[in-house]
Amino acid sequence: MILAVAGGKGGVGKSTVAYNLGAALPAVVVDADLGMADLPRGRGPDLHDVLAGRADPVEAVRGSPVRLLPCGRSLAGARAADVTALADALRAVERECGDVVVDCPAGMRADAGVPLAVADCCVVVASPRPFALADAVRTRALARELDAGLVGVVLNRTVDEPPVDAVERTLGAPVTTVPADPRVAASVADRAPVVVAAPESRAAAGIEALSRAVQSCRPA
Amino acid sequence: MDLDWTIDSSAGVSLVSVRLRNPTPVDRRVRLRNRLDGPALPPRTEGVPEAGWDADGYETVVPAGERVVAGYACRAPPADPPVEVTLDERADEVDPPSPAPADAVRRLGRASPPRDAVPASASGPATRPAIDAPDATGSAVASDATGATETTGATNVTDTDDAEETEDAADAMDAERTTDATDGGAATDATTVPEPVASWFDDAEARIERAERLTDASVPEATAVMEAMNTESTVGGLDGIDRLAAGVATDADLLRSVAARATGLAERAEAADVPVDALRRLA
Repeated sequence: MILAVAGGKGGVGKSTVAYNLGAALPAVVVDADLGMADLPRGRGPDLHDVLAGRADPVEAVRGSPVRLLPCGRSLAGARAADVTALADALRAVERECGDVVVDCPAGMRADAGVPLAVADCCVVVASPRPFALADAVRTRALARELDAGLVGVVLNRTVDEPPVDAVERTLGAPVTTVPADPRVAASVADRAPVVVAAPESRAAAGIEALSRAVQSCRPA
Repeated sequence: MDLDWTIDSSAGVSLVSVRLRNPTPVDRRVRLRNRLDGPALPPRTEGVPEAGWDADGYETVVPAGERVVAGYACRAPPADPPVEVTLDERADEVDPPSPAPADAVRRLGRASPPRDAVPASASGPATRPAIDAPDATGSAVASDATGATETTGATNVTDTDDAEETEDAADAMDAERTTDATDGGAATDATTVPEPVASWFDDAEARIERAERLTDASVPEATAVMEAMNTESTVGGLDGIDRLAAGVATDADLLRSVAARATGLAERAEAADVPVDALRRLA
């Protein structure tokens, strides 16, 4: 199964959710933010190399505890990368490594659209603020147009009482909340997914709930 | 299925436009095959061929009683007919296919950074060639000549064929070699400019003369110039013309900056007053 983690807005925590969901499922996390990647890169070939035809996608998968296909950081790499090759790369990783979680870039251009077009389903990440919700609605519309079924919406970094009902009504999908938790924020940099580092936390429970929702949408 | 076509051919490229009309009361699936001697170059959006096109031709559904128009290019001489219908059958009712990644690219547009945003260091320095090299005039020209060619190469970083880059590199090496050879014997005579500068001026003048002959030229004149270019250089034809245009533009920039610097230096030279007599008295 290929799952896209999308959300029109930048900075809402798509990469963090993708990383932690990758640990919970488990799945290979592909950092498809070609212009502004932020999952750990490490050494070796990256997605820029794969999309420029210089590396095999499966050989670029590495790392633990979450397996990653990282993305390069250079503008030259982003320019040389052919986003039309992303579909084949994702399918190749799915064939060899099993489930794939794609961390999509912000925005509404093809680099965000191609993962949605390839994905079996998607998760939209939003922050619990009114302005972020508008972007989530746009991303849901794009996902619908590109045939990526919406598994659910993640309200990330919630504090107090998040507007779950309002979001569910607006987006027409079940909402999972991930409370603000410094351990989630640090999980990517520390390579310590919250489901492993703090399995009893409410954030880990949110990620686990999301993981179950994704599993239940697995295509037959 | 009524098929009507026109073909427009120029400089070895044929542009084929096709009109299909379905006079029947049912939708029909039609496949067109390119009969020209080369792959069909389909219309593209964001670099991605439109749906239904491949290297052999085009497949589409013509609705009942309606028309569909299509067009493509082919690097081949014209033929009669350029296209043929290889499939014409009743179109089955099918659900629209789920959008492919290519659709997403066509509809949303690529998000790659613009060429100007990409540092050119990947392929060597791309800064404007600096005129004010501190040492002898000869080497200043050498760095200009190679700098200019590198700039041309660097603009082609990502999307040109290797051949051109190799040629650029070869040009740069040539420039270096030429200057090296002449550098040692640089003339310091008061009335003549140093040899590398003179030869650079000569080269630039030759290019500019050629460009002048092509400016507002009649067809026979232009053909004569192009033929001369073809025999003199391995890079002829339209590639040669492109190169000439780029070369003349670079010449204009360089010559202007050289002129500006030369004027400035001349003014300073005139203004400077070496107190020869006073120093002689002191000595």
